[in-house]
Amino acid sequence: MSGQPILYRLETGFLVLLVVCLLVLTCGQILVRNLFSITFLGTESLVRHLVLWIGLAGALVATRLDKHIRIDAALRLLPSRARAIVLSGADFFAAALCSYLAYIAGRFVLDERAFGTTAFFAVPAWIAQLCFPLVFGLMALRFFLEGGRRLRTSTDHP
Amino acid sequence: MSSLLATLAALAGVPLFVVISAMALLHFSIAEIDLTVVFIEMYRLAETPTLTAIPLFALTGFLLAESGAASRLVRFSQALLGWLPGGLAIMAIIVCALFTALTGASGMTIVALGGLLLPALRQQRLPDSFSLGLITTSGSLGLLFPPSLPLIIYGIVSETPVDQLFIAGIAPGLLLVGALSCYSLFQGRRCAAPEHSTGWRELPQAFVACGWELLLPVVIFGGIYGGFIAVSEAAALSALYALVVVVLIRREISIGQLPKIICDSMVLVGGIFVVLAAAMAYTNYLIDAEIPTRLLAYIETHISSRLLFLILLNVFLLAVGCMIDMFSALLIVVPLILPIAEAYDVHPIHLGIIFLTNLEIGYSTPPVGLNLFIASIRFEQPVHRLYRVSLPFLLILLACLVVITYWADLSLFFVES
Repeated sequence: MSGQPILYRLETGFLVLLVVCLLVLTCGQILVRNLFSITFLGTESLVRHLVLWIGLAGALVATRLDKHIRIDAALRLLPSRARAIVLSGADFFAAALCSYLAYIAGRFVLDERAFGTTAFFAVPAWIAQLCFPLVFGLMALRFFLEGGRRLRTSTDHP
Repeated sequence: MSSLLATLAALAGVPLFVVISAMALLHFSIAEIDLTVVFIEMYRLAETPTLTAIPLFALTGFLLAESGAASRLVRFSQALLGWLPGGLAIMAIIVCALFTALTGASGMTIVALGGLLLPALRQQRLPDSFSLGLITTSGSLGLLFPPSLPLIIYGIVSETPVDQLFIAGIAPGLLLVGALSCYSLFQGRRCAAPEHSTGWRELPQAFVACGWELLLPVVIFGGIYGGFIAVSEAAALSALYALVVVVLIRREISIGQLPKIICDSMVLVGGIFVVLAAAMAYTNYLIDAEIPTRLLAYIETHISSRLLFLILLNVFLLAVGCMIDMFSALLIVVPLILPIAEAYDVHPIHLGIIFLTNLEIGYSTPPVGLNLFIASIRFEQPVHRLYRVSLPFLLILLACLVVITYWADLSLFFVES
């Protein structure tokens, strides 16, 4: 992992931090509840938001590693060059759609900000939801780069 | 028209969450609904309590898969069953099922166990085709046992209690394991596979060696059904348990390796999560547009009996299982089928078990079942050979599917009592 660019390491570090928080919070909750019969209001909601962020951060890393769920049954039958071309088209389409989703997510966050709802403790919901435009925007960028890379490799090695 | 385009896009390798989101966006904009509804639906995921179980059980699975749990389980079952003709094959089946259940059925069984089990089976002079077929089809066996991720996801999508699904899966899961074991026993006798026993003396040692792993299901079950903890909390405890055992007690994984393992497991979770999020929006559209209702009306005019409905359901789900990844299949198909099945008087929990058994078998079904391709790569065998060697096992599993489908009490008996 030490050979990876700093951005990737930061990304991994952030994801690991979220998972550790999730583990500590959920196990801590069980302990405190069973030993002292205390439940903290709001912890439950914080835990679920953690899962939301973990899911989205995981999806972002999955985009980098090309690990998203695709139906590749038909693609397996294609020769490798044709497959790379079709997949690069798929990536460009994904990039376009993720950009649009990021834009809609931005509008969603602004709407929520106007409503002024609370997510957990005193944290406003819109702050917790900022992950949506951020992650979809970054995924768009990654799909675009990946599509370009596939196209290049398919022309490099005929 | 739009469904056709979506199918084409999916077949061209567009990530599934993109295809589903695109469908949802398209339909909402045609219906002139503000598109932010997509994110309102996605955000609703943060209100689903069971969701926490997914990353935590996935982490448990990855930790166990990276540890030496696989070889310890093999050693234990070898000591337990090595004396029986065909015992090693039965051992392979049980270890596969146990490992799949422990790792939450995240698709790692063939990769993690194949390299250990296949040479052991070959040594016993069992026919090569038998051994290959066995490992290939056992790759998704154990999917019905807790804490399998597909069961949890079915619970979330169908709003069925996950703890009851866990109970319902046990008897059907044992039926599948039992049927394959009987076949192995028969093959073992016929080929007169030499008795191989490391001796009963080995058994206590082997049992102690994998005691930590064998205790994990006890922790999960005891916690949930003892009423101490919810399913999501059982997931947290099992992740903590696996972490302590693998890192601190056994020291098989160093702290330095942990970030990579955590990251790998969360990549799987992320992949499932975005499809789940997109499917929330898509399901909302389906219900708004009354698609399940219209589908039901159409089906009811053509299919009058429950029996025929169940037969067609099995055929359809097997096809889905061999085409689409298990998690996506659940997320896309369950919301469509659930209301229809209820109209034909199929209990949602029974439907879940039928659904997963089909997907499990579909995974080894030619031409494109995923297990066949994983085994092909793992054992360096041509795929068409795997088609042939898996056939007897598939037929047995299909017979079990018939039993599971038409004998609802097998799944529901313990749930209802």
